[in-house]
Amino acid sequence: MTPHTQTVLRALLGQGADGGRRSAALTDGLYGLELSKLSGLPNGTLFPLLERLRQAGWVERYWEQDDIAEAEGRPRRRFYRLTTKGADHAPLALAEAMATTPADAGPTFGRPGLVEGT
Amino acid sequence: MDDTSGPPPAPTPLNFEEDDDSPSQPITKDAVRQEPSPLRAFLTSDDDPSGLETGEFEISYEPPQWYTQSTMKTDLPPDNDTTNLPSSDSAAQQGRPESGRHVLRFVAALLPVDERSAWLEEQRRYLADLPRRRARWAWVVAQLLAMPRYAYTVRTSNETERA
Repeated sequence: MTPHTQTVLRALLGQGADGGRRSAALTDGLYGLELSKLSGLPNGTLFPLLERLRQAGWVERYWEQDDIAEAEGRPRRRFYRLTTKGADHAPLALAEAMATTPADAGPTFGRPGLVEGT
Repeated sequence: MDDTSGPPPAPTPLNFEEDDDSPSQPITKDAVRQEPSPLRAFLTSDDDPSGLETGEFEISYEPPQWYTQSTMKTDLPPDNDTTNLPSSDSAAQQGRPESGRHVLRFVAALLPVDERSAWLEEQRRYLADLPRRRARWAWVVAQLLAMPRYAYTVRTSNETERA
């Protein structure tokens, strides 16, 4: 599991980077713009990743109710949330990833072929 | 003595002040709107060493459209139609960033047909929620750059990378 996937799953689970619970309401679903801000990932990374999670059955997306959008005179929003399968597997996968990843390893990637400190 | 064998009459000197072709009245708005008349040129035997016949011919000439339009604009009131054009500021205030939609519509061609309209509606919503024009354009550019990867992910249903 890549660090970016972990970040998105934590955001969808409503957890902070330290694993702490941020808000239970976040598990109901996240608007794409909120998800982008929470994860800090660029669009080119976030939306393909969400699509892969959706194809894996971990994430589902749904449209906002029409009457809410029509009342405010704007297009509908699309929300992303974890499915039951995703909600069951994501915490375990995150715990496993945390256990195998060194504590000092950040989400950044080094350049291939280059060793740090040289 | 025959009168015809005498010296030819001296040519009449040109009098520019009494030229019939010169405008006798000031140019008005209606005059500018008239159809352009063809130019006239004259050949005379005195000026033509090659011996061509004296005559008059017309040169078809129409001024370019930009010239006539700029001439007509000099004394005409401003066109009221320009006030009805959508400005980007008013569009942004109403949540309708028109400028980015064209790019997104163009980019959406990479997606499958059944995904395009939903994706466009989702992106329209994002653009309407972004407060500043700079942020909206940054979003559009990011989507533009991300689309090849996203379209590949959408089109390949089989999982290529484990989540």
